[in-house]
Amino acid sequence: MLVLERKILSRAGRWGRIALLALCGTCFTAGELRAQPVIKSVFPSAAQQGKTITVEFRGSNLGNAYALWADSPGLEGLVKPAESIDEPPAPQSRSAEPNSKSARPPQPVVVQLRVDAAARPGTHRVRLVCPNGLSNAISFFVTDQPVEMEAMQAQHTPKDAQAAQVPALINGRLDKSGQVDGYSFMASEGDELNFEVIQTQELKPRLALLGPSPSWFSTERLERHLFVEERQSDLVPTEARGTFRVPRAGRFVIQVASLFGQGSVDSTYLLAVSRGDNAPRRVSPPSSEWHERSFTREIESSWLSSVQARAFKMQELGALSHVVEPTVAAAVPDGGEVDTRLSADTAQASNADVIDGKSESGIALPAILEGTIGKPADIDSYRFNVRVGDEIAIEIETPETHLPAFNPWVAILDSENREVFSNLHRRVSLFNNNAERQVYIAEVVPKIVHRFEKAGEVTLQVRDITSKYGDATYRYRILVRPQVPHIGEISLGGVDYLNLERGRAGRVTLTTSYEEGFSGNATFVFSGLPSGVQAFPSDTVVDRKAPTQITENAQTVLAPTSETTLVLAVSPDAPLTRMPQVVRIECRALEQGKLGPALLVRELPMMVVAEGEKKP
Amino acid sequence: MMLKTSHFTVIAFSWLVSLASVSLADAGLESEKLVSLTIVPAEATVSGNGLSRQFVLIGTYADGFNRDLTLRGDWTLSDPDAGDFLTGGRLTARSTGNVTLTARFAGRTATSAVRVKVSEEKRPFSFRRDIGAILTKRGCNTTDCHGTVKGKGGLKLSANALDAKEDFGWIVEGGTFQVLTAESKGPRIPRVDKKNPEQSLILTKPTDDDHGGGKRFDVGSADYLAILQWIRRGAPYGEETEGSAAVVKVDVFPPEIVLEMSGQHQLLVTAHLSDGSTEDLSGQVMYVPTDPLVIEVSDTGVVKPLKPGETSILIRAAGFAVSTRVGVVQEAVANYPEVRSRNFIDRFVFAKLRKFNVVPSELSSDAEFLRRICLDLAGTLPPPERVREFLSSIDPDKRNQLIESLLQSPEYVDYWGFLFSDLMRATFVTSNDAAMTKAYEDWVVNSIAANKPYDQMAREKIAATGFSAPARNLQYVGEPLAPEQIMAEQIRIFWGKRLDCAQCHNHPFEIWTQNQFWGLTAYYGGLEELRGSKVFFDRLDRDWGKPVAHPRTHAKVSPTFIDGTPLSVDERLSPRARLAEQIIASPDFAEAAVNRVWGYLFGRAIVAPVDDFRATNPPTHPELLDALAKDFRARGYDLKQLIRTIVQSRTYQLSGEPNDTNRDDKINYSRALPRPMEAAVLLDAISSATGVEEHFKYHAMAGGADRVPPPGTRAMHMNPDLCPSQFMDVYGRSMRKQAPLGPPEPTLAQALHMWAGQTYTVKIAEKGGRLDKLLAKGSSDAEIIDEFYLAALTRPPTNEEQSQLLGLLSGHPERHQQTLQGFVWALLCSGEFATNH
Repeated sequence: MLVLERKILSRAGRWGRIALLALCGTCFTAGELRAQPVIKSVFPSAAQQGKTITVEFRGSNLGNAYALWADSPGLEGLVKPAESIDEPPAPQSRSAEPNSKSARPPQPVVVQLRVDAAARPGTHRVRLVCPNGLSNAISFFVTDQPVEMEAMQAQHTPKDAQAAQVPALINGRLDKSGQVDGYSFMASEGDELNFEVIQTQELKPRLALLGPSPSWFSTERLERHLFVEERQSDLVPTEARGTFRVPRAGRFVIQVASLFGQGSVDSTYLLAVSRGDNAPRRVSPPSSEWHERSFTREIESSWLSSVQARAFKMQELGALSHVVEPTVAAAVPDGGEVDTRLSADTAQASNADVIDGKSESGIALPAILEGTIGKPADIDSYRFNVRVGDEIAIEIETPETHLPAFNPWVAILDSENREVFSNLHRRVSLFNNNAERQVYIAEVVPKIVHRFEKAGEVTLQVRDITSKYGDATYRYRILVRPQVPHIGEISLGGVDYLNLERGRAGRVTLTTSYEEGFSGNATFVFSGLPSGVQAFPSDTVVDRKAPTQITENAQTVLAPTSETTLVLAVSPDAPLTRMPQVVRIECRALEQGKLGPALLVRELPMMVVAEGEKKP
Repeated sequence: MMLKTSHFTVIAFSWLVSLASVSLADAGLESEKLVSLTIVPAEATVSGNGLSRQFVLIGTYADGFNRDLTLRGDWTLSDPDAGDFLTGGRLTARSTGNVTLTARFAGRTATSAVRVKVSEEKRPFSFRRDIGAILTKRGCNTTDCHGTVKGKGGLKLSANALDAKEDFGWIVEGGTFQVLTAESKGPRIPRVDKKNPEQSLILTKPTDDDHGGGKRFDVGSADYLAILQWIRRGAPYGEETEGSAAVVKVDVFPPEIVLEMSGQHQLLVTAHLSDGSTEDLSGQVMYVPTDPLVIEVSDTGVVKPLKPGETSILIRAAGFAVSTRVGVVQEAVANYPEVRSRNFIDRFVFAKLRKFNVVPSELSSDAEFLRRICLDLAGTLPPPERVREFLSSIDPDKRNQLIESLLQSPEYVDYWGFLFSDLMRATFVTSNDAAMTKAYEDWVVNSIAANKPYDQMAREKIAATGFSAPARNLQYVGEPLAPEQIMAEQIRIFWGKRLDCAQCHNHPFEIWTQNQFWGLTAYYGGLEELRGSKVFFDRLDRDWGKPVAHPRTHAKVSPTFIDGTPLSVDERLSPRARLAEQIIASPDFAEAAVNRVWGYLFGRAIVAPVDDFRATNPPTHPELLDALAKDFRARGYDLKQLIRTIVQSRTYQLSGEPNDTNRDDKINYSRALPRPMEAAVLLDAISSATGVEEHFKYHAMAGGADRVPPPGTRAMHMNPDLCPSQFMDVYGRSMRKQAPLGPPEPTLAQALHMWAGQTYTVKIAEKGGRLDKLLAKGSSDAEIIDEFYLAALTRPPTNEEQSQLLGLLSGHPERHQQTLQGFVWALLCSGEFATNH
């Protein structure tokens, strides 16, 4: 086990420099490895629980892959030797016609994949283990439903559409540019149908639903039906999905195409067609990573204790109250004043506690405020008292509709209705097209902090940043609490695996957020490093370029960060790893000479591979 | 080059009617044909000291004409001492009392109740009404004189005395106007000399032959004396005097005149005052005929014909501009046929044609109708089997059934989605992001597919916010568009008005001011973007955004609607939503929409160009425009219903074959006029006729130059920015840099393209194409000719065409296939193919 402290690391000086010199310029980041195995696609990309299927991985540098690696339990695979690969895994052979799907590209790796009957339904991440290391991860969907495969012949006209039964989960591929796949099914009047492209690779999918009536001009063209969302919303769709209520029974065709003709042997999709609420079940994998500045983290009663667990020491915050905005305005008692003061131990306030989101008197902190921007231009208000020097943090979650559709704007207003601070991240651009100083709004942020300089009652206002959108799905949960100095998110810059070459060194940079005035240091602990691998500190690269923009309200919307760079050096005689070893990275706060509890940063699969050819 | 270029110029006012003559000179015939006699106005007040009023005697005849009989009538006053009646129909008050003005003609009598009020008390002086009127009538403030943007010779006047306060300042205080600031340039030298009034520049200049604008009036004339008196009184502004009534409206009678070559017509220009009274301005305004070759108008408003034709008269009064249309016909039509109307459109159109002695063409043939309706509703040619089916059907309702089929077809969505994508500018350069461009285009197309009410579409576009698709058009190359650019475009699309000129100065031809422009622009002043997520929102409520400043005064401008209504504080949270409601509530909204759709379906809009609504560019059929707009509004702004109503009319379904009376009609819809197909429609038509699909490729900006759209993709599906096409470029496709202006003009490049372009030459002979398939299955020459006529021209060949072509083909047996290809090429190059007619 190696413990490294940030400031010590950056001053490691001689020890570190000697180590680095010894490696003689052979340092690389994860992305710099030569001949990195890269998976671009896997097909099929879904399987039913308890099934064993043959899948084909495509990408680059996958030669001689010998094992499958799954990031979560439930998937196992056996890689077929290259010479035994005779036919692709599809049930039908490809047509030789000009418009048939294209031939198989080089380097497919065929794997016999077994999905455990108890495997978690939802998206898993799988990789291949190759002689030159572990590949990137690619998504594989596990479901409790049967998965159909697309037929291999061309199927772009409605007449050729492949027959399917609803519910259907279909694995398909748009092999070439301009290809359109169609699936026909019978639907009864009144059917509520859901269509969704659950997963894609190398593809921006588009769905179109065609109905039974042909065009007057050509029987080969069917009328297109709009999904409910296309008909009712002017928002830019962020996903290929739609719902439809069948007006009259008949044969329908759902077409999968791509944006601007994207298509290749790697352009795969997983299409789900279901009735009513029977969309394929998905269970999110447990995340070991800490996400604090995200609108999608779940702010539940336990969230506060999770935050406290990341602090150097626990502090007494008082009991958490829970304020729920009523969804029915009729909850107002007849002509009555409503006492909205919440007791400290209120776990779930009644609907009458807050009227239409506006509390009549102060709420007790800490509190979770839960409500809905139920209609356009809805503004919910909550009042509470602050004292001079009070330091509060406000955390915002959007449990259902997210950015960019729902942009929750949370502002604190003083007693004269002036904005004290808000979660709008404002930047000053020092260089733009007009070479003029310009202030612009960068984003709404999911967390803000503030120290009050004036005592009194303040109002927390929450609304959508537009005055146009809002419905029952525009839900929010806001935690208002005293600040807790703690270590926040720790990013590895997108690195989720490492291949280290024997005799060389790799580099990992950890970016740590210091939340709410945390004044200590972050130290990192690596455990489970492969034999012959050592971690060394390194200088942190300082960006000396002149800034092009400045955040105006940085103290409110951003947390200070620090960067720690570690060099992972592999000795020339380190044994090669046949299978990845999971390295555990933990962080411990160091404050006033004491180490805090260990926080898991990431479990990272790591391999030591043979040295590649030297670069000229 | 086979394109009939003469048909492409649709804006013309020439008018020629030559039919059997009906002379009205004979008094006996007069009495037989005169249906009624009317004095206009039927009630009037002539008040003040020495004020007069113009009256007009109108005879309505059995032929539907209204003729001005003012000069021919026998006029009497019930009390001859009440006033002096002049020959031209002008009554000057002499003594107070209620009198009856009577006119007799051809045995008929008409009366007008006239209240005469003579008083020594004069109407309070008003610079705007009294001096402004002279400056307007004398043309001093026209846009080619001192009313131009910067003025002339150092003196700037507002066009039509629209801004009398400012005019007063420049004249009385002096100074030189500057466009970008309210400050005067150079020393202020007054144009009035209160010590020596006769030496005032405002008098010496317009009476001088050497004046840059020529002599405008004589020394000692009424206008000269009026100005002189004003200066002698100290050159006051005077308008705010208590009791002074302001002019709120000016109108003209009649709104439309049909003149015979032998006739003339007196115009009545009336000012409506805020106290409910009216004043006759007929002798105090400036008359400007749009086509001075057709008519001439005297200073007192008498219109005289010069030659047959149609024109309008712009009437410029101080602060106002109105217009009236004039048609000059030669002689009435004998035995004018009864023309049946199918709906209200026909009633309005045919009534005007009747009035103008123009007989509409016959109903189109089935083939003519089929081709036109397919191109207009679906932008595509019908396949030969559908042509045969339709032509052979004897169902009397088959046209209506076809209209319904086409309105429900996916091709309708393609075509009208394409037209509206052009209109609403679905272009890459706004968002600088191909996916976002597509999202915006999808919104347009889906709106058409859903037949979204047009007011909702307008609401979503004008108040586009959040991560909405219509908000993708609020940028230029990824940077937010300037508020004035967005506003001007929205007004152009949804009101059909070009306010742009008022950005830098008051509009030269209209009553739109710079203040109005910037007041509207200020609605967009709070527009902000979340750069991270491309989400748009308004922050006027907290004075964020880019507050809009008046370019001349540099003062911050508050959002103010064009009628002067300011945006209330409560509405500052969503200012553009409020603006959208105001725009939609205006009658201009529905009128602009129906005019645009009408323009798409006829090739010429009722107000042409479609985006140029203004008082000085009047509609050819104002009542029809009003009726269409009301119907559109009453039916919930249903675009599909509007299109259905228009194409079901007999007017739309008239033949393009002219008769003797309508051969030169370009503006009254008496027959169908040929229109060039849009570039995309033409390309699709060539692909359809030859049976060879066009192979499009996406631009690299769309993700890679090797990417292609799905088979069956039509040219109109391809966004101009994201699909390179030399053919469509040559044929003038809209690149969506601005709202479309109209059909492109024919060019030499198009002719060259016909000769050598691959679209014309390669598709004809391509393997798997229509000709190749017909030859492969052993079709006879006659069958091939027939099939191509149906596919390209939507009609079978005539016997003459058939026999000539067969002769041609049999004459070259050694080059049979090449001759057939030549025949197909000739068909595709014909004007009949390349136009919608």
